[in-house]
Amino acid sequence: MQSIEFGGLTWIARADRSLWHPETGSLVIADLHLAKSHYFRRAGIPISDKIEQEDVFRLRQALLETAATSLWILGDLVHTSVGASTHVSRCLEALPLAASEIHVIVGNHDQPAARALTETGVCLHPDPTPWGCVTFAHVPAQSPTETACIAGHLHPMVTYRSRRDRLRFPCFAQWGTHQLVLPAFTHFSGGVDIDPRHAWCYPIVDTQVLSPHQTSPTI
Amino acid sequence: MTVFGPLVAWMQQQGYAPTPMQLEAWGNAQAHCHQLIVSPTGSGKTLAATGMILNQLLSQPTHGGLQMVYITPLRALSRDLEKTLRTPLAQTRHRVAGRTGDTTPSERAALLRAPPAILITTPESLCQLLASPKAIALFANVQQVVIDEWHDLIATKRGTQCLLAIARLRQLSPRLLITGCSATLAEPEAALTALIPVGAAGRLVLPQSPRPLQLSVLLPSASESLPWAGQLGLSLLGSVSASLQRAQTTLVFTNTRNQAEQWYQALAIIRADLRVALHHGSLDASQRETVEAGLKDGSLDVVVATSALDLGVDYPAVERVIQIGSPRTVARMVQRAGRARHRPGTAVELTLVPTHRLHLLEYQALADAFSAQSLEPIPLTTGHLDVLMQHLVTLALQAPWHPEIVYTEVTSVAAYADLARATFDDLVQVLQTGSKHLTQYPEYQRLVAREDHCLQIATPTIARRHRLSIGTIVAHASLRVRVQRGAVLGEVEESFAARLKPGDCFRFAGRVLEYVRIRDGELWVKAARKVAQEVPRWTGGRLPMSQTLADHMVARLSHPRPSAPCLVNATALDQAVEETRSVLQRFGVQVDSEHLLVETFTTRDGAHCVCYPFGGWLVHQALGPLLAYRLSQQRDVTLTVTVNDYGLELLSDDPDAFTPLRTDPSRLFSPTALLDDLQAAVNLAELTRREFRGVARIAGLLFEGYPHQRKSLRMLQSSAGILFDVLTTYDPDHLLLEQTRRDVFETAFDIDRLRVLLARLQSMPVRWITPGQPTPLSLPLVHDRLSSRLSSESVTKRLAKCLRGFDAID
Repeated sequence: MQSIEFGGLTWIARADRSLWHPETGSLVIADLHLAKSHYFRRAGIPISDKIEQEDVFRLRQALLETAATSLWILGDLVHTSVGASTHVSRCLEALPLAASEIHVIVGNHDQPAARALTETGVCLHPDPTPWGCVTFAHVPAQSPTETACIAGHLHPMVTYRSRRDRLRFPCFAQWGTHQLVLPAFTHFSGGVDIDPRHAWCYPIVDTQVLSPHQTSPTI
Repeated sequence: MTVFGPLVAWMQQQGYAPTPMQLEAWGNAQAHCHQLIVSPTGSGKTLAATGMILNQLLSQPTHGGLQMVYITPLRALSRDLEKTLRTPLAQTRHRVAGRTGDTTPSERAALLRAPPAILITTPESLCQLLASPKAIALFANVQQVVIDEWHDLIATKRGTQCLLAIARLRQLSPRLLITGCSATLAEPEAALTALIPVGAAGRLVLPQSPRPLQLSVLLPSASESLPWAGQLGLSLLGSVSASLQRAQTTLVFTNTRNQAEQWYQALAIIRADLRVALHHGSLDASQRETVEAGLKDGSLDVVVATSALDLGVDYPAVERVIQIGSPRTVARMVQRAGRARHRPGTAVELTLVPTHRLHLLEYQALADAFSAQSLEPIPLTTGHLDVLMQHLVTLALQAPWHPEIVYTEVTSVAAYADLARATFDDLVQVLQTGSKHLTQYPEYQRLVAREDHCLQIATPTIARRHRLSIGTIVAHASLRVRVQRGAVLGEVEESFAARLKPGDCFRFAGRVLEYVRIRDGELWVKAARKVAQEVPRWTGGRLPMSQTLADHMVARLSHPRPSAPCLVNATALDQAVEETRSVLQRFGVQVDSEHLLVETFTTRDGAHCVCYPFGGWLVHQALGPLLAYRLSQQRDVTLTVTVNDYGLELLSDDPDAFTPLRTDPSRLFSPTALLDDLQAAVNLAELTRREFRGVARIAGLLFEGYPHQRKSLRMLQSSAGILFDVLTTYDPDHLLLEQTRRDVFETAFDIDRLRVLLARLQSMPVRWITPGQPTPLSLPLVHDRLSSRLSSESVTKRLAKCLRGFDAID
């Protein structure tokens, strides 16, 4: 657990890759990519179904632990339209929230599946969508915006190297006061390396989220 | 031989007569006997292998469909072969056609509409042809299949793929005759057995006498000095360039493409009076063809080349061959030396140019090995499951198949003779359900069983995707380099291209180029006027020293003696080696086979411990992680392992980590629990993870994408690392993970040799030296870092340490 002040609000970055806003009871995640392994299997690549079951289970645990009353998914709820409705329905059944309490920013992967998603009853929102004093988006803003923006899409990772070692972790990445990007919630994804000299990185190490000053070089 | 009348008559018209070797090979073919023709290049083995069919074609004017399939590992060879085989048939109506990755779609279609009499192809293209119902009619009348350069294919996955393809050809045309061609190799009988169907009879055609070989070592002149490390070797550039002459065509072999680019650049500048050219596998086909043509007609003076020119085609104009660095294997040395023109009665000469001092010792060992005629034995492969998996899908694209029948077909291939029925069935299961675990992969299907138990391809999408990914060469993603509004120069790896910014300059294809942009999967460049140092690197260019050579090297170290007589300047070389030894001794380095030399020192990187078993790369690659694992069991530590042919380096932040090597070496080198420890070490050291990429790619799990790929394909991209993690976490017994572990144990290490080495090391006293700085012997290891890591610490602790020693983040 790591608290992050962002957009005038206090957020909790959780080691399960979700972002929690206690005041409003909202849990925020990005890039769940449901049905991704399904799509791979359909193409003849054996990716276990368990990986998605585990992602959904972790999301369920996060919702139960925080007793969240609403869930925001910042885009890419599904990977493709193929198998989207089945996998989303299966996921919704497992979650302790009603479909109407689940808000989805339509990400690039969601677009072809938009109709299937509407039918499942989740609330779809355009990218970006204002949320109180911040903006929720899928694709991070290219240039600094006036309102602080929380986004996904990048799957940020951070790599630490010394002459003897090299370690790579998923992270929450923050650029100044205007941009916060969440790690991909699914474990079945790669990511983009963020340079910790250009952004504040909150790496997820084991069961902890570390703060940028804990991971800044001590010479 | 009267039966070969038409062919002999044609040969006599050209002014030559059949050689004894050709007559022997023709006799075998006439007796319908599979054979392996072993002979040096330039001895007319193409005609020996193809004589029977050529003769038939010369005597029969009518077209009887495809008669012969000629498989060659190199696309470059196929063009040359087409010309060679076309010449005798020029007066007939029979056609010779090539089918490689370079063939255009319209040519491919034409080939199926009107099949040629002789088809020249690569293993991959042959499999492409097999992956279609049209193959059944196309190959129905094939009488003979020829595999050229068998020595190059035999121990590889490509070779295995080739044999599976031939097994299918035999199903389509049961009287198929198999003929292999090979350069001189150590165990011709084994190479023949691997080639022909299990239980079939085959004959060997062996050369009369090997060509004598003379080696000369280019030694530094008074003004030059030889460094202790480095693979580039430009320190002797002066002597090399001075030795080049106009109108004496010289081939300069380097071991990597990067090295070839740099040598080309240097020679072209210094010897502007000569016609210098560059040839390597990443250059565009048209540029390679120009160079090859120049080599043939003698219009070039110097060609800097890589192993892409090792094989096949003969260049009669080549007068001299120079090897930069070490050829690393005796076989490669002989092969490369043999590229020079053969004048009967004279020896083949090869000039060796050391890039660092230890090469001098290696050259002595090479000469010893050659004098003892010890060529590298061929590691016979047991059937790879990933290759078989690809092949089984290919077969389904041809026609639905029954497991019973295909099992018999597959086990007729020597490499798969021992394949258990249960393993085969598991594999078939994996193709149908993704895994032995039935429930884990719903919706997965590559093959589906019909009611009659025959397996067919599941969907047209899977068929299309499979055709795109046939092959076993695991190339790194690459981009074509195109001059703006101009020609394609060749290819560089994507990872290199990704580092470039507009305006950056680099040297490629012998030119200085400026990066403009990446567009449509191509790297656009323009000619630059600036000076550039950057040269692209290509992965996989590393050639490890063979075990045979390593053994001779150890023998040399323990018993210094005069060089073998095949070395022309033996006396000067022996003297240079003696000097090298005495310099080493000044550093306290005394190498012999009675002691294990261990060197420890500290730099700002950490505490280094370097051991020198001189066991060769493959053994060190196993020994390094093993030692690291055993050390890490005694205390929590993260160790970085680097190996080369001479020794291995362990790097840690904790100097005490190496104490057990001092106090209890016999336990560290103990053969007890070897396999378990090695398994654990290998998993930790991420070797398996690295190897998995190849297996996943061949088995069709990894789809790496193509330049103009459709979006739906992009959705399927993922990295081998992610797939590996997913499989190890959720399906640790997956057949492909087992195959990867086997690949690591078979190809990355040599367990039997490791046992021998451990036995030797266990009884050896350690000679421990603690110089204040790295000794010359350790420099190659310290410089040339290609490491793997092994850790028994928690990730949190590693991160903390990583941040303490934090100096480079990117």
